Order: sequence, then C-alpha cells, then structure tokens
Amino acid sequence: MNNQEAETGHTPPSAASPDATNQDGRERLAFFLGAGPGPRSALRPLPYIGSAVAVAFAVACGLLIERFIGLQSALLVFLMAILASAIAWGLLPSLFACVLSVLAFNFFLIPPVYTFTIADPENAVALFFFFIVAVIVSNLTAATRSQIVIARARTKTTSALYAFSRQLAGIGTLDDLLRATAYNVSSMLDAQTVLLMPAKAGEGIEIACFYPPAGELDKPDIAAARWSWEHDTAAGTGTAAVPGTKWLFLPLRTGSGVVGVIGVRRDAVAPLLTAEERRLLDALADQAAVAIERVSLAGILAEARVLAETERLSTALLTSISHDLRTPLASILGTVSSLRSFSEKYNSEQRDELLSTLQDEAERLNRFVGNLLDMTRLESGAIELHRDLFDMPEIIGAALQRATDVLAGHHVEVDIAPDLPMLRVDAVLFEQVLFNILDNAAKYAPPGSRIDMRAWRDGEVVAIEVRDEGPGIPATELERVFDKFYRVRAQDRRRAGTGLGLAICRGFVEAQGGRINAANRRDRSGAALTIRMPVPQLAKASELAEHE
Amino acid sequence: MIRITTLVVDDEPPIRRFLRASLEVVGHRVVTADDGAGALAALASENPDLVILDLGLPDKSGLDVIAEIRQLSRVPIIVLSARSDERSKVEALDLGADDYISKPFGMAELMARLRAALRHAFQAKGESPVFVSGDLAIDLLRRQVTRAGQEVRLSRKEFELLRHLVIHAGKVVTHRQLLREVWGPAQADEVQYLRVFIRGLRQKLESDPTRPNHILTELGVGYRLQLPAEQRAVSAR
Repeated sequence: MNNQEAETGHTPPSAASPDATNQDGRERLAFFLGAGPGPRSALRPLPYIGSAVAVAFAVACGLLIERFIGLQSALLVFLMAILASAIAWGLLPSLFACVLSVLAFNFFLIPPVYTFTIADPENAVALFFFFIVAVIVSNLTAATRSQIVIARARTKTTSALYAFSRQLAGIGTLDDLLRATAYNVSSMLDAQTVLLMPAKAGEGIEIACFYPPAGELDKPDIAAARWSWEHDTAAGTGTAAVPGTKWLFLPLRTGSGVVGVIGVRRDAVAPLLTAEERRLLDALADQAAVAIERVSLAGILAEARVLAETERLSTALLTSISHDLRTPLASILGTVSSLRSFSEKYNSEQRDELLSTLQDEAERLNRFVGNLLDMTRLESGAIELHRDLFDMPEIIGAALQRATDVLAGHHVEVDIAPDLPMLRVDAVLFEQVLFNILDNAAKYAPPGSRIDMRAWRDGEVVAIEVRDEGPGIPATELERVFDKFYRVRAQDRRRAGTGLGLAICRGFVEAQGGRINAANRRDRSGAALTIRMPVPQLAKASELAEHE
Repeated sequence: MIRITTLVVDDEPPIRRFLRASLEVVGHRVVTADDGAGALAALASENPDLVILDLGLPDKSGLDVIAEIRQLSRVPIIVLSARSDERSKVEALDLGADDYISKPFGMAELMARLRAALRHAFQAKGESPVFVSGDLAIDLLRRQVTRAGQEVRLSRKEFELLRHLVIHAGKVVTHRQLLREVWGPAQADEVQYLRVFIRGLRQKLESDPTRPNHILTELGVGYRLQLPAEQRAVSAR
C-alpha cells in the first residue's frame, strides 16, 4: 500500500537513474505489476509536499469562508484537501494531510488565531471529530484507490501476457520463438535472460538464446540450469537448489513434460525477484513452454512428412528401377540367347530385326542410367555449373542432333528467332534438358505427328517451347509431371519413360536461374513445355567480337 | 595397303574383346593393354599406328598416360571417356589426344573417329587441298568456298577458322585450340568470339543453320567439321 506512487506516473527523483533503459524497464515493470520495489517509495517527498500545498490552499480558502460565512463551513474545505491527497497519493500522504489540516485550522482559524490554544470548547469538539472523520475518509479513499490501482495493474499484466502469447502464436520457427521469448522476458523484468533447450546431440541441455545477446554462463550457473531441467524445479539464487549462482532458473513446463529451462539474472537488486515479478515470470514461462512445444510438434510433424515422402520416393525408385532396368535387360538377354540358340534358323531379315531390338533396348537402358545419374547428381547437390554465354541455336542443334534416332518417327519443325541474345547457361546441362523434352514429346505423341520447337525473345527472357500433337496432360497434373517418377497415366499402357526426364529438366533449368512449365495447347490436343531463361545483363558478345 | 596396328588400352575385358573383334574385322592388327604401364610398354615394343585409350585406368590417370605417350611419340590417340565429363575430355585433347568418343558408343561412330585420326596422321601424301563434302567445296590454296556451285564470301577470320576445321576435318578441335590458332594465344579464353563466328559460318555454309550438317558442335568441348558421307561409312580398308 505504500508504493502506489509508481502507478501515478510520477517518477520520483530518487528513482531517476543515469541508465535510461534501466529506468524504462523499471517503469514498464511497475505498469505490469502495479507495484514498484518497496522500501524506496516511502522516502518520496513529492506526495507530502503536494499534501502540504493542498492544505495551504485550504487555509487560504478557509480564511475567506470564515470571514463571510462561518468557521464550521471552513472545516469542509480542509476535508476536500485531505480527500484530494488520498485520491492522488494514497494513505500516508493523506494522513499527513489530516494532521497538517488539524494543526493549520487550529493555528490560523480557531480563535485565538496564530496560537495552538482553543478558547471555545465547542471548537475543540468540532476539531476532534473533524480529525476522526478525516482519518476515516483518508483510509476509505486510499483503500478504494489501491483496489482500482491493483485492478488496473492486473488488467495490464493480463493484456501483456495475452499480447505475449499472441506474439508467440504467430511464430513458426523455434529460433524466432526463443529469441522473442528471451527478449520479452528480459524487457518485462529488466533482467538478463537465457533460454536453454535440450541438446541437439547427446544428453542434457545447451544454451539456445541469450538476451541481451552477449552473455555467458559459468559452471555453477549451468549446474543450476541442469538441476532445474532434471528435477523439474526452480534452481539457483533464492531457491534451495544450487543457490550459489546469480541466476534463477525455472523449468519451461507443459502438460507433457519439461521442454527447456529459462534463466534470469539481475545484478543490482536483491532479492532477485519480488513475489509479483516471480508470478509474472511463471506466467511468461508457461506461455513460452506451450509455444515451444507447439513449434517442436510442428517440426516433428514436418519431419515425419518428409520421412514419409522419402519412403514413398524410394518405393517409387525401387519400382522404377526394377521395371526400367529389368525390362530392357530381359529383352536383351532374351534376344541374345535366342540369337545364339537359333542363329542358323533365322534369315537375315529376322536377324536384323533382333539386332535392332538389342540395340534399342541397350540404348533405352543407357538413357535410363543416364537419367538416374543426373537425378542423383541433382539430389546430392553435386551439380557443378559451368555457365558461359551460349548461342541458343547451337545448343538446340546439338540436342536435335543427339535426338535424331529418338525423333526418327516424328516430323520436327524448328523455328528460332534470328535475333536471340546469347544466354548464360551450362551448355551440357541445357542440352540435356532439351533432349529430355524432345524425348518426352516423342514418347507421348503418336508416330508421324509433328513436334514444334520454337525459341523467341519475350522482353527480358528467352522462351523455348516444344509442342507436340499427343494427348496432352490432364489439367490437374500439369505441375505433377515435374515430380520424380511421375508418368502421365502411370498404371495403364506404360510408356518407355522413366518418370525422371522432366524432373531432371526442372532441376537443371532452375539450377541455371530459369523456369520451366507445362501447359496444354489451345489450338489442338497436345502438350507444350516452355522454358524461360533470363537474358544476361552483360555486354553483348556480338558487339565485342565485331572488331575482330 | 598398310596393315594398321592399333593399341587398345582399357581395363575392362569385354571392351577389349569387342574392340579387338571389330578392329580385326576391318583389317587392323590389334594389341591390348589393361593399364598405363602396359600401354607404355606396348607403345615401345609394338610401335602402333593408333592408340585407343580409356581414361579410367587402374594404375594411373589416362591423362598422365597421354602426356607420357606424347613425350615419346606423335601416334594418334583416341580417348574413351564417360559422357558428361567434358572437363577431362578437353584436358585430354589439350594434352595432345587427337579425338575422343563417349562411352557407350557404336562401332560406326568409333570407325569414323579412327578414320579421321588416321587420315590426319597420313596426311601430306598428295592429298587434295580441296575439301568437298556434300554441296560444300573448300579450296584452301585458292581460298575459295562454294556452296552448291555458288561462291560464298567469307571474312578473313571466318576463312581462317574454316581452314583450321578443314585441316582437322573429322576430328574435334577444342575452343582453346581454335582461338589460339585463329586469334592468337592472348585470346585463348574468349569463347564468345568463337561462338559468334561459328554462328556466322553456319549461316553462310549450312542449309539449316539450326541443324548443322557440316560444322558440328561438341558441347563443352569444341567443334568438328563433318567428313563427307563416303569417308564416314564403315567399310573394310
């Protein structure tokens, strides 16, 4: 009750510290708790000076009223001053005002004036009862005021906690969460704060976050933190466990256990925390614990999802490998053995046919192994880009050249804008991309149909598009064609594809800063795959080379 | 006809076996080695006319073997390498290998490479200075190029570039080699120059510059002037 002054916002001179942030912290704390640290506020002179001024004002009014109306009415003015003092500064200053009022009334107004003697016994009785009433009014008013103050402080603490928990709820990663918690606790309690989390490797806990950031823990500090973690109890200064440290550690506790440890330390003040501050810290720790658990659960869920996805992929990989490696191998082994067994019975035409089957299947196997290698390189991050300025027609030409056999059954139309700028690409990877797209088009479009390959400049990008006359891609699957092991109509009528070609394309194109997407043709059925590569912001090579 | 001796260096017996069989069919005498030391020994004892060398050998790097062979002999070397290993291809060529072929390869392709390498080795035996391939004719002495009977005008640098490709016709020539020969050693890394000029040459010489028939691109390595079809065909010598 003796420290409500802080609530009024009047910062007493004695509390003024050269360290501005420190003082700020204190004031914020006072807001949260409705109470400042006790003993110092009793010495604040301002409320008493204020009370004295109020009483002096009452004396002045009293003299006027006494002259025109009467002595008894003047007493009421003093009651006003006491009331004002009680409302503004609480109990002690208002009691001070009571005593001062009685003395002043006696001295200035009760005849004989300017003495403390009272001539008329009626006045003595009036003054006596006035004093009793004034003390009661002081008490009642001050009590009401302090209830209001406490209620207001509780509201503020609650809303601060609410704001804290809402802030934590919006945070998705553990690191951000820890940082926000440490910051908030540190600024609310004006204390150094540390958070310790379970060690990523091995047993125990390790320091996860400090605020202010530069901080360290000694061996006894860590021992106290570990105690708190292992025994699920407060430890450190002011507690029974490991008190030989300047830190106080509390377990961050949720329904399912201890998720971490929070530590606070304040050098100047002893004891470390008042009861109110401790309550606040407990509340903050609870909020933080719940938030940490939530984020960790989200992490575990995400991990599980990745694991499931990995599992799905390795199953797909196994299926794919067993199918895509075995099928050509079966054809090759079968063909070779039949050639060996019945060689003399085949005519040259039949032998030729078997031999070309052999070659086709071996080449198919070769492509599949090449794709697997590319995919592995992509996934392991072992792709080393050798980017350089390249002439697009040159790379397109190389891809068409390599795809000659694959495209033998199709009619390929090439249309390359003559003014294409050079692109900064890894030519070998880019050629592989184009080859895979052409290979894909040849696989899905019926024999004899036409495949269009166009390249043009579109502002700051160069677009390269391959269109076929096949069945196209179901609208819902347009993105999925770039998934690993995805094949359009994967189950029925399996094509010779590996389900890797386009996934590799996307990986290679994006590694080189470009984009690739799939769409369906508007003019007829058929798929259109488009690569967009940025035009490099470089001096044009052609200009350089002009002056040989 | 001279009987050609070919040294095949590869540590994989199946590869040695099928190369031996195929080369003997086209009339070569075939000697084999399965590592670098064996290759150098065979080089000294057999004096081969041609070396087919795998880059992945058990005892030492194929690149080192190239360097060592080049200290002893100018015998044409054709390198067998894995696809997607452009760096080591270029390195092998810069060390003095004549050409390369990526595993897996077909016999037709290998034979074309052999032919080009041998043709280069046996050059200067009254070979015509006129290179004719399809509708294209390049007369190195008179510095005249015609396409389908029409004269094609080339700039000085374009002709120089084309001349180097013709001299090495059928063989791959690395970017660096072309730049050094045509622009001088100081410009050996300015690959963009080269691309611009190749683009220009293709526009003048190719019927479809996007799908060139004469000046072929070896991505990441260099260029190759395609030999005329009749010289590429697989046939017994």
